[in-house]
Amino acid sequence: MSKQYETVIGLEVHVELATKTKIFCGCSTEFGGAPNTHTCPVCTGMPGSLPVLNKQVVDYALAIAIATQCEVTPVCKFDRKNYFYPDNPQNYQISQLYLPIARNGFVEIETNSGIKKVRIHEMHMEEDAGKLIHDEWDDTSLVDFNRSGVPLVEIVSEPDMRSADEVLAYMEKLRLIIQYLGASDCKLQEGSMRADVNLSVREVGSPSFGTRTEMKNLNSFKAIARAIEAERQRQIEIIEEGGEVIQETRRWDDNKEYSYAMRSKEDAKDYRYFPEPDLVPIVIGEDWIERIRSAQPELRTEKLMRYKKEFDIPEYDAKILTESKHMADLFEATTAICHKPKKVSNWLMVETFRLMKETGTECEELIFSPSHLADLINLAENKTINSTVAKEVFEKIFREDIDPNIYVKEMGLATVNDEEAIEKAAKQAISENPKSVEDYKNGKEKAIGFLVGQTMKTLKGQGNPGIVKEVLYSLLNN
Amino acid sequence: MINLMNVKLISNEMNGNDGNVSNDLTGKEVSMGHRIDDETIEYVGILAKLSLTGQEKEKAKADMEKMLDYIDTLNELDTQGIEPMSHVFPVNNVFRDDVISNGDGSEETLANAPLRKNNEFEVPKTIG
Repeated sequence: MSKQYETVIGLEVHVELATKTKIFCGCSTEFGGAPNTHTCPVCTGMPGSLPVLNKQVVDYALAIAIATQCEVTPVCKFDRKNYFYPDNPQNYQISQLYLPIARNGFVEIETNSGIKKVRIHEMHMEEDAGKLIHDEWDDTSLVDFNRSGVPLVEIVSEPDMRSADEVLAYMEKLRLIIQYLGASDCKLQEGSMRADVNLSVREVGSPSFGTRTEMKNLNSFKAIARAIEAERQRQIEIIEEGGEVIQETRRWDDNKEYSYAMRSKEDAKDYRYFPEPDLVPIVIGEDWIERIRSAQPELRTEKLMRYKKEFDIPEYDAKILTESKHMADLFEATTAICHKPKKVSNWLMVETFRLMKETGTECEELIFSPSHLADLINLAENKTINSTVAKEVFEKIFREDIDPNIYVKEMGLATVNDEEAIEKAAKQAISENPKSVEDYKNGKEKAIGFLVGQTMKTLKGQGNPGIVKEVLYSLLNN
Repeated sequence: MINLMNVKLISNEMNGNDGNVSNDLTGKEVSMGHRIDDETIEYVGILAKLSLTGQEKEKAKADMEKMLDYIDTLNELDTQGIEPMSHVFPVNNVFRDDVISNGDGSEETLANAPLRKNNEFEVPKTIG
């Protein structure tokens, strides 16, 4: 019988903060600028330049620390981490080793196996490196320093996770907290949220940890799940064959679903950390913490509880709607205008998500205004337009944020309630379809459906379906 | 002088805060009259991305031995009960506001490029 193994996983999550400027200089952090346009002597490590800390970075880091139950370090400071690499113009990264801004926090995650605490070992502020682009044909790499000096918070968990499911739940939890705080947009694909996975395996019941590896270059939740499974298998195979896992950093190639060793993992001493002499310590008093705490927005967990109390919508809907702060904001703003939470939830859950899927739109990219959705809901509710027309109008709102009141008027989409017009159309349908009329009279109830369809066709789909049916029944039965 | 104070600071904090880091720069046991072996100098060279000739290695060894001896001198001071110094100046909380103050700095930045291609630095291919 083969041995049972347990996977032990800890995460280092890097989050790019949503500041306008870099951590130590007044260069823009905007994504996608032409190469090296957002650079200055500070973020390219020119001799004699002096870094000055962006206060917003500390505010965001504190907000994340408080939301993840961390203890804030009353006096924290920066250190230099020395290494040589072309994306690092200073030959050191300004980071925090000895006194990181916060320690000892936790978040609660929920998976199929229940609720579990994942502890946070520490959280520190640091600067991002530049970007290397590798030339396929030439034996060179190109360096763009626009990202150099963009502020990061690194969140280091304890090795508390045991499966890919738990890892994904943990990351999702962090993403939601940080997005709600507005501290980062947390987009894995764009690299504003990155995770390095530290993984080891051990026999079930073993009291000590196995040797761990660190996996880098994980750009999506799917890549993370695949990399965890592959690395678990790789380590188990090594152990089963009597070998030893080497402590090293590996790079995941998601196309090949395979990882390869990058370098043997350096110890902290190899980085020759020392205190950053160009930056003074940061003293964080209770008043500062209190200021951040009192400005803290409602987080997802609290929002969910409030929705349960305030709005009569299914719990499932509440969960989905609050998965993105943008969607939740849209829901609340629309509901505040039309006071129909259930209807708003339905439009978001069904039509909005359908169109998002169809057009590949993310929640954050939705352009329509809450007032237009609210107006549409009112138009449908007071039967000015029927449900088919409402869906068509919504698509226009979704794509172009048109004003539904004006649009319905201009396009003449209002439901025809005029009984005379409906009767005229119904009579036409009856005279043109004697077969259906006969079927109906012979007891085939269903034949009325066809006549309703024909009447609606004459009315360009805008007939009030209730009245159309009523009129047809009375014409046929008399 | 400032540099030496930093070195002293490292050993204080390493003792205090990080059990994984031993209190000398090479990670080896220390005693007065340090000897740096070939392996250590080789490794430090790798970390610094320097290829040293035999002669340079010997010179670097002698330098490093002197530095470590000096740290021992500092370690003779009794620092019991003294709060680790976090900075040499008694100044805290120097910040800037999150306001963009720099424009397109690419020409100035790229003026320092030994090799450039379009708007980027060109370097030997580096992956990892």
